[in-house]
Amino acid sequence: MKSIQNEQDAFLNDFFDAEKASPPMVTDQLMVAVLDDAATMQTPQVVSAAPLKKSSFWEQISNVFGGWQVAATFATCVCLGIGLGYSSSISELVSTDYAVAGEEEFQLGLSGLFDVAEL
Amino acid sequence: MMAFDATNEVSDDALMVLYANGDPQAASQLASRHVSRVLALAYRMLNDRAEADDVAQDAMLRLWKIAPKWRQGEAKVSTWLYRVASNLCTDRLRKRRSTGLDDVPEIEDDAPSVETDIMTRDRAVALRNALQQLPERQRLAVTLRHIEELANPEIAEIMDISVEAVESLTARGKRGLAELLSDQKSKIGLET
Repeated sequence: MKSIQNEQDAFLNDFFDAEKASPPMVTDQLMVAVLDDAATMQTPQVVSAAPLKKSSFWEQISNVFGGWQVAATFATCVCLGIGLGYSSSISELVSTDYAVAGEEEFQLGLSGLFDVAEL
Repeated sequence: MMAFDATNEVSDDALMVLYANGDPQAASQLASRHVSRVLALAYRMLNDRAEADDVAQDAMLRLWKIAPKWRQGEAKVSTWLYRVASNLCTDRLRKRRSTGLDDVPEIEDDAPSVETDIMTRDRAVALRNALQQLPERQRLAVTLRHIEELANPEIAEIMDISVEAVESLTARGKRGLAELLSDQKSKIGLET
């Protein structure tokens, strides 16, 4: 059995050796195509820029003032200013009343201690 | 001369990194090392030079594409290419069967090959014709083992089967080839 196997191997080895001795040649055309592919894949892909979006009239106005972020900040500041102004005017009014009342109380207090007319 | 020798010592893994980093010489080195092997396998599997060229180009294209993601030390470039090429050949053979173009004519050695003497060439042609008559998996296993001279574990990796299955396929393939070629002994100068 083993000798039959060896005989078969020896017989086939002649064919395998013949095939190894005559491999298909790489043609210049194939090598050029392979290297062209390599160069194409190696080149960084150019990413095309997205087309510019046409801005509306209000967007253009907003851009003049620095965009929506600046406009929003500006609007917040205006609201805050108005709010602060309003609240300070009320507190001023309240504090004036208090001061007036306090002054009267003070005057009353003094008058109770001594007679101003006597001085 | 020194630079050429030095480049030849660079491993395939390192060349893949160099290629991914834009080195134009790396592609040329990888191509000169591997195109001939992939082409030979494809030609023996498909028995058609134009299709073998297409498979070789396609397999190499896939190598260029994978280069930026190539993980060093995981697989040999040659093993990976053989696997891709054998899958591409399988796809083409399947297409041939589905379109009824399976009957490829016998080779008359029209393909350009390294110059050899007539007897060697006749034996090579006879072997290629016999290989075409083997089942596809046996053909692949025998080609990788006895012509490309790969070790069984590497063939198992390429074919995604066990080493035992490789041994079985090559044994059956060789028996089949011996039967097919024994009829041609006298024709190719092997009869004593």
